[in-house]
Amino acid sequence: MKRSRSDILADILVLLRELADDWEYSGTINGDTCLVADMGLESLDVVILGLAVQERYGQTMPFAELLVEIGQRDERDMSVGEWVDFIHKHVNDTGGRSPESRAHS
Amino acid sequence: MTGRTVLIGLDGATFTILDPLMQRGVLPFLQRFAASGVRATLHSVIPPLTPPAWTSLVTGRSPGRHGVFDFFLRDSADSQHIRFATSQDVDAETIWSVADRHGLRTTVLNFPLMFPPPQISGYVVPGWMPWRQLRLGCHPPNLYDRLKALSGFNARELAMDMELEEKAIEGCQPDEYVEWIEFYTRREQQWLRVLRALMLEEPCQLTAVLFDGMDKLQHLCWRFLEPARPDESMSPKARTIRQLVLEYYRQLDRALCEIVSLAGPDATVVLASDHGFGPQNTTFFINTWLQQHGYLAWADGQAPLASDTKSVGIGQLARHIHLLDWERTTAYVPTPSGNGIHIVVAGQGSEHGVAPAEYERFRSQLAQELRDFTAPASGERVVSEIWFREDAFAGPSMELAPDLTVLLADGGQVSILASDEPFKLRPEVRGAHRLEGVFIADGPALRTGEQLAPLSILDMAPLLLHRLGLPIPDDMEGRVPTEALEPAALLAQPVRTVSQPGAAATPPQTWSGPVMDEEDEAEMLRRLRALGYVQ
Repeated sequence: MKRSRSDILADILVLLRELADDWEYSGTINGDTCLVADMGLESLDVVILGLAVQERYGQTMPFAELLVEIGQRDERDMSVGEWVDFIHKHVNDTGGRSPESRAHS
Repeated sequence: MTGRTVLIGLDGATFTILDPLMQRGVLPFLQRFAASGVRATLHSVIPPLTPPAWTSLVTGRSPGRHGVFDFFLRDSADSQHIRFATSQDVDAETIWSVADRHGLRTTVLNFPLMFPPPQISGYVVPGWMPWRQLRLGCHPPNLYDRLKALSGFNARELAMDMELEEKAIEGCQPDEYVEWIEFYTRREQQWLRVLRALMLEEPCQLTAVLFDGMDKLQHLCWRFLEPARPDESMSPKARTIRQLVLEYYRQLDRALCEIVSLAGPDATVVLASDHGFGPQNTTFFINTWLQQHGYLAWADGQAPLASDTKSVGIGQLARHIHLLDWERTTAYVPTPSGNGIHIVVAGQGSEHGVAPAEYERFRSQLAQELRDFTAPASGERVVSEIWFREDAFAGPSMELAPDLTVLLADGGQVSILASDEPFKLRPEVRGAHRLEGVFIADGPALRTGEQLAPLSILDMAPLLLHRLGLPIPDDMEGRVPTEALEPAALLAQPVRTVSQPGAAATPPQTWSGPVMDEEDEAEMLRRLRALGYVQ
């Protein structure tokens, strides 16, 4: 089933708002919110969120390459909207393997 | 079914430290526990590092079989990109998965490579999980809200805070030690709080908890902890730090006492570490050595300087490989944790690098040059042992492993940063991993007061499954250490094995080095030929 960008954005906003409650972040979260500058996330936070998204959509995505690309920017940051664009680009790609394909644990 | 089985992981525990502390009365419970049960040196895997070693302990397979070699791994054999290893990279069944198949419930707390969490019957709180995402790692999904309701629960203290983790690698400022040690002391209390609640309210047949503060403290505070160093030789400030570290051990001893009490008299309790510890007096800047010997080149102006401590932060590691000039690099070390050298082979994700036909000669020459490298002042060898990957990592995951893995003469970890000299004495001694960890166990089926010959970390999974009353999958590489068990207990519950579909024929590859028979050797040559490494 193809997933639309707006569905993915809604999904990601629900996920981020649920987590933000746990660290008592009270700022606005929308497509323009920056993960590092606004929400205070660290690089490993972004990695774990990427893994959670892969798990949710059952699809591996090249997050390592995305993180490297972000790391080479002047501002090492990414907006929620950019992240959603990345997921949207890859989530409907059937070329990747399922994240469960090697999991036995 | 036997009684409950409890695995208490003590990350980095070593008898070098525990024995003197038991003798000095710092660890009274552990002393009694060891005296009433069995103990042995527990040999780790190559490399003796948290992710591969714990994964070996809970799967009974070596890294070449389970696929975890470091905190990070390459996306694929022909990719230079590295990423954080996850539970999905573990290519072997864990003891809790086996227990789940047999209808048993497990509580698993703070073990690495547990995110995303396995969907087992029981409870999972992964280790190495950033505190902001801890909710996502808890299984079942409502567990996190239950933990939040515990009195005194603090996710930020329980889970991982990157800034604090990086201090274990980069070092603390002098005025940060007290706060840092007290943090890890409180952190173990957080895990004990969660464990206590689950053991009381939701007891499972298998309970596994990992306390990892010992590893962190020994890295940074080894010079304060060294048993041979008398208090009188220390400054007042150093004595204060030593006392704080000892208080950490005292508190952990009380926690062990409580856990064993909660488990009950019928339980088998196994204490084990993933690796041991010892002093590291020198730093080998291995990428600088590779550069000086023509194997590595940093892109213009990109060399990550050792003076810039932030350049080796865990969060920065994935970027390091992009600081290299790939047209002029044939060998590199991507992480400071696994002591593993990767060789760039032309045609495997890069048009540059070593021609496949030249691989064997190139690798042998590099290994020999490393063996020949001596410390300028002492003239002693810097590298004491080098493993080729088919020796250390035989198995289906070998293609992702480093081509060479080095053991340094002082037992320490390499630095991947740039330096004016490849080898330096450290201004202060720090702690570093060793192959020799600990095993201490007690329970009704275990012998009393026995010091056993060294065991392999691969023996722990079979032992734990046996104590759960389960058959041992025949592709586990270790064995049930029957010498630890009372003969009557073995008679009552003989060791049973069960065929594991798809089991590979490769032999155990642990600390003791390569053990290959002709059939295995032929298989390995076949694999290498298929990869173009052998003509």
